[in-house]
Amino acid sequence: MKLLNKLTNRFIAWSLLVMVLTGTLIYFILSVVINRQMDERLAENLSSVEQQLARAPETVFFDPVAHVEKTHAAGEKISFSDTLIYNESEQEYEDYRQISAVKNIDGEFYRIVLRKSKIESEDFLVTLAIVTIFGMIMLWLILLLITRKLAKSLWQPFFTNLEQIKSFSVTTQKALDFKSTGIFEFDELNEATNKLTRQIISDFQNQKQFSEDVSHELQTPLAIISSRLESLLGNPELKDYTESLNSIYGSVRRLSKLNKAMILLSKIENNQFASDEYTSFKKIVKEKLDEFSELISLKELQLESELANDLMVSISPSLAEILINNLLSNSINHTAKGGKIIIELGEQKMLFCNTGTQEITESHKLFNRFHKDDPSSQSVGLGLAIVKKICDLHQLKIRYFFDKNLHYFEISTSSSNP
Amino acid sequence: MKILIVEDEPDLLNEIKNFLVKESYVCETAASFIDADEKLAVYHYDVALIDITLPGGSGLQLIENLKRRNTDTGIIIISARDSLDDKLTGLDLGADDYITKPFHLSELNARVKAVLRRRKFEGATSVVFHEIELLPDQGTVHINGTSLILTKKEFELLLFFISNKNRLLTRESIAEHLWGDNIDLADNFDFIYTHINNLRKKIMKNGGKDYIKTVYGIGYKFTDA
Repeated sequence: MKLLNKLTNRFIAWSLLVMVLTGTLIYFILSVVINRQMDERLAENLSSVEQQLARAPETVFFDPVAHVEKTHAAGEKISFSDTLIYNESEQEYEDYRQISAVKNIDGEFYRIVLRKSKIESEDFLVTLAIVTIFGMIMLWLILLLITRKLAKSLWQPFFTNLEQIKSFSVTTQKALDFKSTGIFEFDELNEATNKLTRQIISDFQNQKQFSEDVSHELQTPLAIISSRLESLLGNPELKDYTESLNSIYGSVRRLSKLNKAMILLSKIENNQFASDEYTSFKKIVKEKLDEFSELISLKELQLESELANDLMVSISPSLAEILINNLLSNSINHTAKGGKIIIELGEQKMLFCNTGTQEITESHKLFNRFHKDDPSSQSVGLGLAIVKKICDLHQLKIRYFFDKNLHYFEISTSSSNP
Repeated sequence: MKILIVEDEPDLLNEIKNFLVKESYVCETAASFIDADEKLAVYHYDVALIDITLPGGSGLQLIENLKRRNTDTGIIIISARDSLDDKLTGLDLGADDYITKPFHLSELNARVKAVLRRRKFEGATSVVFHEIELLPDQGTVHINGTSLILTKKEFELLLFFISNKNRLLTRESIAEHLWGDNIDLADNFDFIYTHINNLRKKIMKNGGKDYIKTVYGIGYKFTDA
C-alpha cells in the first residue's frame, strides 16, 4: 500500500472517531446548557405564577403548560424533571421540561407544575448538529485534499531520487547525484544513500582492481613456467618425465589462456576499448573468413555467406574483431566434420548458424562465464561470455536459438539505434 | 648480432636473455627507462626488445628517442597491454613488430629473425635449410631449385619451423603462431596435424627430406639430426 494512501486511511479513520466523539460531546454539553436555561425560565415563571396566585387565587392555568392544584402536603420543595406528554393534535409523545413545586401562598398549599416544550430546543440542537457535522465534513475534505496535494509535492524529490537509486548500477561506476530536497529527513536519507553507494562503488572498484592486479601479476610467472617447461620438454635427458611435464605444460597453458581471457573481460568492462567510430562488420567478417578459410576447408565445412549488406556498429575495431572471431571460432569448433556454417549480414543484424544435432541444453547459461556444454572440453568457456559482454556494452542484443538442426547466434542492434 | 632487452620484470628478463644467448645472440639488458635510454644512446644494437611499461618512463618514448638518432636498430615492442592504441602508436613511431605478453619464446625468436632479415638484408635474404630455400618477402619456397606451392599457413609454418630448428615446438605455440591467441583451438590440434601432414607431403613429393619429427602428444621438432 502506498504511503500516501495509508496516511489518508489513517487520517479518515481517526478523524471519523474524533468527529463522532466531539459530536456526542457537543450534543450533551449543549443539552445540559439548554436544560439549565429552561430551568431558569421555569423558575422565573414559577415566581410569576406565585405572584399571580397571591393576587388572584382563582386564576385558571392551562394544561399542560401550567398546572396548579391545592394540596395538603406541607413544606416547600422544588424539583426539575423531564417528562413525556401526549399531544392530541400531533398524536405523539413530546418532550417537556417541568418544574414541580409546592408553595405556601397565603396559608394555602399549592402544587404548581410548570412545563416547557423541548421541541424547539431539540430542533435547535439538531440544526446545530447538522451544521456542525456539515462544517466538519467540509473542513475534513479540504484538509484531506490539501494533505494529499501537499504530500505529493513534498514527496516529489523523494521519488526523483528513488528513480536514481533504481537505475543505479555498480558497473557503471557513476555515483548517485541527489538533488537537495530542502527536507531534513529526505536530505538525511540521500546523504546516507550517497555514502552507501559510494562505499559500494569503491568496494567494487577495489575488488575489481584486485582481480585485475592478480591477473596481471600472474602473467609473468605463468609465462616463465611455461617457457621453462617448453625447454624441459625439449630436453632428451628428461625423456622419462615427458608425460608428467607435458601434463603440467597443458595445465599451465590452460591457466594462461584463462588468465588472458579474464584480463580481456576486465578490460572490456573497464571500457578501455571505448570508441566513437563506426566499424564495418562486413570488412571484419571477410577478413576473418579469409583467416579461417584453411581451417574451414580442413574440417570440410560448407560455408554459406550472405554479405551483401553491411552492419555498421559504434564499436572499436579490435572489439569487433574479437566478437566476430569468437563467434566464428565457436561455430567452427562446434560443427562436426562435413557440417555447414551460414553467415548472414543484414543492416541491423548479423547471423551465425552452424549445423548441430540437438538444441543446447540450458541455453540460458550459454553466455555465462565458465559454462561448457561439454564438460570434458578443454576450452576455458569464456569465449561466449566475452561475446555477451561486448554486446551488452554496445547496445547489441545477442540471442541463441535452435531450428531445423541449426544453431543460430543472432546479434542485432536495438531498434532505437539504427 | 647484438640485442638489447628492455624489461622491468627480472624473471622475464632473465628468461628471454638465457633463451637468446642460447640462440647465439649477444645480449644486454636494461631494467629501467634511464638505463635503456643510456645504453641505446651509447651502443649500437641490431635489435631492441622494448617493454612499454617501464619504471621511469614509457617504452614508446624510448622508440621516439631511438628513431630521432636515425639508427637502423630493429625494434620489437613487448607489452602486457595488448591494446590496439599502443600497438598502432608503437608501429607508427617506427617499431618493426609488436608482441604481447605472455608469449612463447619460439615466437619471439621467429620475430627477431624476421626483423633482422628485413633490417639487415633489406628482405633480400633467403632462409635456407639444406635443400629448402624460403624467400619470406615473396612468400616462395624452392626445394633443390624447383619452386613449391604452399598455402599461406603452410608457408608460415615452414618459416616458423626453420626459425626454430632443432627445438621442440609445442602444438600450443604452433597454434598461436598460426592463428594468434584469439581462437580457442584447445580441441583442435588436429588442424595443426593436418597442416603439418600436408606440408610434409608437399616437401617430400618435391624431393625434400622429412625433417619434421613428431614428438608424440607434445608437438613437433624440425631437425636434420
